[in-house]
Amino acid sequence: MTLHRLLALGFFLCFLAFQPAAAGTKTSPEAAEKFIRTLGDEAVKLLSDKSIPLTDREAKIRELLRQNFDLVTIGRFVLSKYWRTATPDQQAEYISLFSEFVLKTYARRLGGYAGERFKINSAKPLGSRDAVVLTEITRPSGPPITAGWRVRDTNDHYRIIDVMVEGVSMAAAQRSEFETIVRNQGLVGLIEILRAKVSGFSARPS
Amino acid sequence: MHLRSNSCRGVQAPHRGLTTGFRSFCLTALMASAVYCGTGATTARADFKSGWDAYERGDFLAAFNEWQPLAEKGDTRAQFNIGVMYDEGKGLTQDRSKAIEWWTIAAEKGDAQSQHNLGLAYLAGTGVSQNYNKAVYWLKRAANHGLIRSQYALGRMYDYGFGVEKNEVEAAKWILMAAEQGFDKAQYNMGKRFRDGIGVKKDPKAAAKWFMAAAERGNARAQHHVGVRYITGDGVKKDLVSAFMWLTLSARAGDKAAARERDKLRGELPAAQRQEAEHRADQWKPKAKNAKG
Repeated sequence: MTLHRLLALGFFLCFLAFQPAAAGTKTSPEAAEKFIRTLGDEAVKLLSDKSIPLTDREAKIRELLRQNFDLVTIGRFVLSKYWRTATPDQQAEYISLFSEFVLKTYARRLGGYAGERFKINSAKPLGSRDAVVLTEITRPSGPPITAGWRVRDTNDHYRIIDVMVEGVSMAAAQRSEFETIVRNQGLVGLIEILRAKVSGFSARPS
Repeated sequence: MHLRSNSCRGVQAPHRGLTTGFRSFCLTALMASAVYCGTGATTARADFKSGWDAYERGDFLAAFNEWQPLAEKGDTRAQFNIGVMYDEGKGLTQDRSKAIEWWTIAAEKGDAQSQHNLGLAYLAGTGVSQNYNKAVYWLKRAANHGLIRSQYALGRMYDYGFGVEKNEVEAAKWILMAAEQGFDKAQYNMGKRFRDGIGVKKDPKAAAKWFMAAAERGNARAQHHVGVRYITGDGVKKDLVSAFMWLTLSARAGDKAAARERDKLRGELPAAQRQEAEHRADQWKPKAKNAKG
């Protein structure tokens, strides 16, 4: 195991500890699997429809992700201890920018979709209240990628709260990166960097 | 920068997936670029609009092949778009330093969106070393073209003293420009400035006006503010139905504090007024965004 992965695993364990125990419903692995299957089918359908222009496809996938990712929970976890010291306005601004950042990153990544298929391998409980659905993404070329989707049942709404790619928690990796930025440039520095990352112009028609 | 030779030698292997492994695809791209470099025939056929159509279809290789010759000839639109493709890894191996190269060329020729993206890259340190001074330089040039996002980002740089001397008056000047062009975050920011007197003279009426402007464009935090103002009558005429409507909209947009305020107010309103407020919230539509971005 590389140092990077060890670190990520460490943060991931912190993530488990960070979750309040028994604060909500326990997520059933079967229901989580059904949720991921439905979401995956919907995403593939949307992404394979090449009759829709790319910019519209990306907008639609953003909306789908927005509805199914718990961006507030992820954002708070990623900001770690700095969340508590942020003012309410900073918290609101950070969550808004972080959400845009995640949605933009995933939507753009998926916009270049080229026939990848995913299959569900298994689903099991994770921590005191979540479930993880393990999937394998096969591509027209190149080895398959394993991805784990951490799902939480919040009042009958299933939401993704982390994605683990090849065993590495994306939330944990992001948390580590953000901690370094806040340590060096303060929370306002992180907020401005996030703003910079989401405020760029994309390709234009004229 | 030697883009011509650079691009002829080193067109990044386009790929469609998440990682490497699209060798045949890459070979096709390299062959295509070799044809262009050798004969220049593609140049004559290159067409910006065809490139855009291909891009919208998700056929990034075709888009690249249309835009690359145009970019080489100095078309700033094509230079900007190729920069974006490198930046986002769209059909090309993501290479942010190449994005910076293309945007710099277009920015120096006055392309506002390239100037903006370049400013942000220096601000965040993506593809280049973080450099607030350069970020301010490029954002200011883009802001002077009237780009709303650049004006707002520049204002924030003045607020924090990033790359410039901290100057709240100058910050307010740029953010006001963005607010006047309809950017909701700038409008919300101006609401706070006039409320608290940050870089402007305190003015409760102007504060209420800007919070309302941002709320009307769908800014959840501003909707929360406006809702509370309708309860207290601060800067607006007290009106509990409007308060309930704005708090409902804010809560629907995910503002949890607004949801709590709305729930507190629920008990104070007769059912008919609550229904009216909810009906107004259902019918409500945000004002359109300014296309100038």
